[in-house]
Amino acid sequence: MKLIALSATLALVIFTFDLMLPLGVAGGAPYVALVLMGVWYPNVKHLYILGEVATILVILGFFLSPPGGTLWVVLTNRGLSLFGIWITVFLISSWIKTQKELRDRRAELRHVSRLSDMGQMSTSLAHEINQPLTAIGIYIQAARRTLENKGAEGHDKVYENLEKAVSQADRASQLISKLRSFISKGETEPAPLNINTIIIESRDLALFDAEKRGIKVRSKLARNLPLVLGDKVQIQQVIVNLLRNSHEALMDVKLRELTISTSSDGEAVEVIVEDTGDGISPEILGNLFMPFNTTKANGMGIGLSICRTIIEEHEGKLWSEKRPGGGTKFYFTLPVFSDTPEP
Amino acid sequence: MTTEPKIYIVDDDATIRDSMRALLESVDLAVETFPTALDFLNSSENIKTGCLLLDVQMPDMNGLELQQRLIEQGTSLQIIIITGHADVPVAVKSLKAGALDFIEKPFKDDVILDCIHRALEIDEKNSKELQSLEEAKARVESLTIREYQVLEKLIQGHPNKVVAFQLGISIRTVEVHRARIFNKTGARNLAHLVRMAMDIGIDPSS
Repeated sequence: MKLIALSATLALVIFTFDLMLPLGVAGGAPYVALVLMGVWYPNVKHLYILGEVATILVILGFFLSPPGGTLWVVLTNRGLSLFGIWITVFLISSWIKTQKELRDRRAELRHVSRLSDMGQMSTSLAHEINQPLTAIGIYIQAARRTLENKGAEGHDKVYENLEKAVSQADRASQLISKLRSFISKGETEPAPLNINTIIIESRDLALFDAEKRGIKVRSKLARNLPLVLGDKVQIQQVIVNLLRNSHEALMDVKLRELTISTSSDGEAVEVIVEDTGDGISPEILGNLFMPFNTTKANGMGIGLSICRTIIEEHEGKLWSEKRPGGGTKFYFTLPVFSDTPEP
Repeated sequence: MTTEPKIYIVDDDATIRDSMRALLESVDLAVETFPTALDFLNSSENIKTGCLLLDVQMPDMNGLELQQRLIEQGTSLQIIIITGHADVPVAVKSLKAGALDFIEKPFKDDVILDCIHRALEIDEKNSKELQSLEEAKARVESLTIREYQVLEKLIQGHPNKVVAFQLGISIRTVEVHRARIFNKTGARNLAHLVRMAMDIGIDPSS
């Protein structure tokens, strides 16, 4: 609304200015400024409306301005104004289009990176989904055998086994739905987010096999953490990526500890993911956030570079430090959106 | 000695343990579960017979390592390996090491129950043999020192006369000892006695 009011005021000022000057002066030229405001509008349709409004005002000015100058000079002036206005409309519309394409490409790249993250986890994920499926099968077979062997007497046992089968089906479908929302194409609109909630969801997805791998996961999540403004899927992508990197760093070492913590100083929310791995080798450290720089056999090397872009687009910072006593610490910050934490 | 045979389950996944227990109890088998290989090893000294269902993928010590350890301890447990995804080298390795079978998750109840029953049959046969062996051992141990000396000579194939000469006793005494040996061990004839002695580890050639 503010933007429309501003545009209308500008249009009125230029129109008044045009009316005060004799016809011979190119009073229609400043309308270019009005059209330029199209950059701030969310839709390219608005740009065309601005162009149309400017055109009407230029033509109205032709009839209403005080006379002055010969007809051909006046017509040329008006014509040049319209020409300038529509050239600007064209330039800005193609600029908007390019910006949109760039955004789409980035979203696609983020999507590909999420797919790649999950691709690297696919073997363990398959195992994790197979486990409840196996259990469901066994519980149901146990229920059937109980019915066969004990009949009505085994009613309670049958009921218990079926209940357990249902809860295992939930376990499998929860994992799958988390997986689906993570690898879905759609990204959400920026919204106030509780980082702790996203961490808990990301942890379930990225570290589901940590216990099996003997990794001790610690979460030190600050209470009453202020909200941040952001795209949930993108922030989740950053956290999953950092957790997965730490998880992999721990595969070849004895002491396997992974800690994720959150804190806030009132200005920004800080997230730290630290592991007790071997740390990052010096030759990689310099290019850590450069794309296509990877040490993983089946990785693409775009994860961290995308994470940094995501965090920077959210006006935050992402960096890494050596962990005292061995290992790596990854930090990222996001500006506080609202001091009132979720209840 | 002849207690009910038990099925032991070692799997790190609590729901697999629980569901397997439900399945096996539905056909009235006795079940005991262990979350890790080490937990099983800690109580494996008292476990001589039965059937072990072993998950391959586990943290700390995996199924194959546990199988190896049990074999080194001279286990007579029947081992069935269970795995999440078919891995041919692992299957070959476990079967070569003496596993009874290799079953892939998810499995049908028929498959696993057949396999368990097969294992229990073998286990029963083994434990019967073990039992008769221990009985034979106990009988031989009930012999007096002199009787044992006579037994050694007899299974070396010496006639009574030679035994009497070698031990410096009368033929009549040897005959008495010999009758007592047959009586105490329950051997039907000399051949039976020799086999019994060899089963419990008395070497006739020494």
